[in-house]
Amino acid sequence: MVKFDYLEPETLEEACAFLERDGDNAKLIAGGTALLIWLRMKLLHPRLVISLAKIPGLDYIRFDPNDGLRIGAMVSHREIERNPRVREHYPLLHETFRKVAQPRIRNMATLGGNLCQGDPLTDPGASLIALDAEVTLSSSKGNRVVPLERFFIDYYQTDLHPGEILTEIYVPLPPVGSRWSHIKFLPRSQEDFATVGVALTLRLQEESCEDLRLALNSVAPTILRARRAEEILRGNPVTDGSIRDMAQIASEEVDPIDDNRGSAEYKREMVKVLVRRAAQAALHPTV
Amino acid sequence: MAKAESFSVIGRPIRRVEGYEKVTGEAAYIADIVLPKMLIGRILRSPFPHAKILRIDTSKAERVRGVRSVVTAEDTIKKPWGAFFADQYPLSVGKVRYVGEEVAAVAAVDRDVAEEALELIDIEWEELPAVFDVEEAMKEGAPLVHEDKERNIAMTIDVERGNVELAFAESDLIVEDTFESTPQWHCAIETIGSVAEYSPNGKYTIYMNTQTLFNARYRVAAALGVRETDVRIIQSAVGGGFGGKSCDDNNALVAAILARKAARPVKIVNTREEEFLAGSRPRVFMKISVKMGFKKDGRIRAKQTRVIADNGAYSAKAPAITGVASLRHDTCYKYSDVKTQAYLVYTNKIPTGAFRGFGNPSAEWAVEQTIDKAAHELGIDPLEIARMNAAEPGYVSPHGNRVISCELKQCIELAATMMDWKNKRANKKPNTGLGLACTVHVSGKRHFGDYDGSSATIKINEDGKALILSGEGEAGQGCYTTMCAIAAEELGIPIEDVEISRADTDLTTFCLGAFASRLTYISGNAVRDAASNVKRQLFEQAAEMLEANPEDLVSRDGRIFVKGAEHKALTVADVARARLFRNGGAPIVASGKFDADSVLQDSTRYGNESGAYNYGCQAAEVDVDRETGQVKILEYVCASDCGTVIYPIGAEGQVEGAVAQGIGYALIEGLKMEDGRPLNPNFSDYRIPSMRDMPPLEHAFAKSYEPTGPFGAKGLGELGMDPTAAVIGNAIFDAVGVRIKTLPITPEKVLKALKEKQKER
Repeated sequence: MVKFDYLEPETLEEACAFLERDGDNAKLIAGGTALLIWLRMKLLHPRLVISLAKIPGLDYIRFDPNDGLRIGAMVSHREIERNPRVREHYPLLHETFRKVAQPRIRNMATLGGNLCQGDPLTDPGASLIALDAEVTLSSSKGNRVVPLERFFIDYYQTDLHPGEILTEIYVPLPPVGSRWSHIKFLPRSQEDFATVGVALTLRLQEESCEDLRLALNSVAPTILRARRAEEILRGNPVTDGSIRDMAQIASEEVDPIDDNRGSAEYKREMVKVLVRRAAQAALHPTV
Repeated sequence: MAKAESFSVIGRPIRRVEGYEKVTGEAAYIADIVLPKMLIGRILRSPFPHAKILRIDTSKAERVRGVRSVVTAEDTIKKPWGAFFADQYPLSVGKVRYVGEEVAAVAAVDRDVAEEALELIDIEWEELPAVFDVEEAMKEGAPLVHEDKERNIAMTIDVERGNVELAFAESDLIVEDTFESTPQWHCAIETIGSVAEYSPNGKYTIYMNTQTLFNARYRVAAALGVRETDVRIIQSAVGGGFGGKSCDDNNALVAAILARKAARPVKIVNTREEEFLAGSRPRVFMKISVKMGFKKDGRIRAKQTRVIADNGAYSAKAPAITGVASLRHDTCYKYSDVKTQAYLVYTNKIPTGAFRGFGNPSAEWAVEQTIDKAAHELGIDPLEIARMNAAEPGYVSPHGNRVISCELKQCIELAATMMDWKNKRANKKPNTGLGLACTVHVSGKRHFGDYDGSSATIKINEDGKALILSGEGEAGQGCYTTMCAIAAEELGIPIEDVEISRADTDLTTFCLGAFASRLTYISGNAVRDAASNVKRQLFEQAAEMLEANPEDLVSRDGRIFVKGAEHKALTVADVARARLFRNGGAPIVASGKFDADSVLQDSTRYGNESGAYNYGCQAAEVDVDRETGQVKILEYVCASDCGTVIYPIGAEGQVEGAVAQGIGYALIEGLKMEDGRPLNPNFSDYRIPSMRDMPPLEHAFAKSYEPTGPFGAKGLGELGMDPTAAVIGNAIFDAVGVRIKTLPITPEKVLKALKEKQKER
């Protein structure tokens, strides 16, 4: 087993100080669902593991009709899934969190932990990007707010600076008339990571697309926003043809790899199919 | 079919006898077993698929504080062992033949110390060219896994019955194709583990989570060069076997070697990665070419197969499995002209071995799809083809399997009814399709030393409770409950009054263990015989007390009375006490035995494998997404002929679990390898179906009675996963007209096949 020291600071300041002091040798633990696997697989060898469990004030879900949704980093996936305000005002988030892994994992895994892991295979990031979410990164130097879209830098790499801790996720109010859809393509097992994940928000004006956000997971080194694909539809009439064009561009924008969930070629093709289906689902919700 | 008897325990909603200790977490699995002064053992495994070991230096590892023993082949007798062919060593002698092979091991005060020491073992290697593909391995000049095995061929089978050439000439339609199966891992929730201790008297005591104790004892004794009695195997609670815990791996051997050298008990529990690399022996990969001849009306006239099976680096059960894949399915349908050629081939990969189904799933994946192809080409409903060819009671297969009870036809009808086959077929929707397949399995298999028997001892305690002493063991499948139910039924006592011992080779008579779906039938018969012998003693005593003839007595609900005079009943406890507590008293105890009325296959593989044959038919309705290739099972049905159902909840569990494993085999599972190195030896990447992946599943048991079985029962455990992959393959063809020929059926393969089909148009 990997040997490390374990600390449970009781304030954020203390945690930031430990983190700053030990740099790359220190790792934060929240729910532990990712970190423990990495430790067991010996992919990480931290000398110090700092738990955030004893720090108060990181486990809130606040909804303000004038502001939007603010989620503390230590809130579990399950709490977000079950929160009635989330369900009412952010059905895309409810739908997304409902599909993450299975309840045992959702009970443990935190949103902050999920985002900071920077794993392109996980679901929440794409839906949050589609909702224009921002994250607050705290350190001894103060707070920094970063759009989530720019937070993911590379495979398991985020914009967290040394000594920074992600403390809050902010999701603005979805514009009135906002439509959405989410597809988690799971051809192997319901408990697998997505082979392709698609999150879409979209607003129509008459027959045209006023605005949209298209984010994808499992198909590139990071969870990504398919901006070029969005441009096909933004401000243009929504037709079967324009949706197909958007899906085509999205499939060119992604950068998947061969793995147990399928070849890169297959995933690229699935992006084309599933982005089209996501757009159709957003336009014609069945529920 | 004989008339079903009326039972007071059998077939009732009885509870699992070891259920409470399992649901409360009190059952002691290997991880829970701790002996005084116990050390933890860790194994150094080969990083190469094929390499010579030029030198091993363990001196640094030995000097690590806390290390108590370091062992290599030098600490062994260097004599190979194996279930059928002796070709593997507990620790590599001279060279390694697959990634993960055991080379050296350390026992230390804890795992950290042991692992630290492992890293200090210095080995000089000379890498050798390796071979991974069975067909490459059979070519002249291919690297030899074992120098004395030409073209890497471990075994061949060449059997012809009747006149296949003539039969093909008389066929109206000949269908040919080649199918590939996939290795599949058992993925039991508990990995293989053991705790070994060595006494200065020369005796090894090993706690093992094995499903075959006496086979384990035999192999440990052979590998360590001691007598069987010098080895005592005690079974811990077992977290699932599925064939993977039938002692073809080296875990317990290495623990024993370490324990002797350290003079301390040693525990080794495989990590999940070790389990994938070198633990439970995965299902044998097979490439099967099938040629079948049919008459116009759908009758099967001839069958020819060519099987190339992957043995991996060493021979576990693959020789027998290859035999089953070549011959068994000819007991499912009636025809007399068959020919089969099989090659079992060594490669530089993990040895393959026993897994629920034992060659049947691979064979049925190929043969049942071939029959389905014929049905479509002849324009006959696959249901009709199955029905008209189905085996019946009294059938003797071309290889000599003698079928007594057989309700295959009833199973086909049950499956058709549950699936609403006719109606759905008449109203086929686009992209949905129906598929079915049939299966036959054994209830025990005669191959170890021409013995397929069992024995048990039952004692009646002075409180009237019965204790069964059995060495068969429980691997999680529920056989303890089945055995207790059979004893309770025979003795006429409530099942709550029957206990069963832990399996321990020193305390019980010889038992072969759990394989070949044998326990209900074989050990059930032995337990019933023991119970009947015990009952005779009870009745003799009771007759004396009731001043009656023993023949006039009956027992029911723990009470013994003269037929018709229930008001003057004695309890079993009264009788047991009276027999014991008196001048010249004796406890009530008796043994029972059973050996199946089967015949060991001769040198031409003619014989009668089993005392009874169990049958089944399964059907699926699937939906195929033409744009993604995703296959969704809309409905799955499964009909089984296992004779009398002894323990209903257990039987249902067997069916559902088997179908789940079959679905995993069909659609999901498979280890990816690159140059002999597994790429996904963990549960993040190697997926098995979860609860949420199960389709709506309906099942039924045929009304059936096997006259040679205990209360009419036969085997069941493997039947449920034999045909599943073929069922799904056939349903996909019916849905979208593409035939997938390699497992697993990934959406990518389906999509590719659909595109190729479109191009052809």
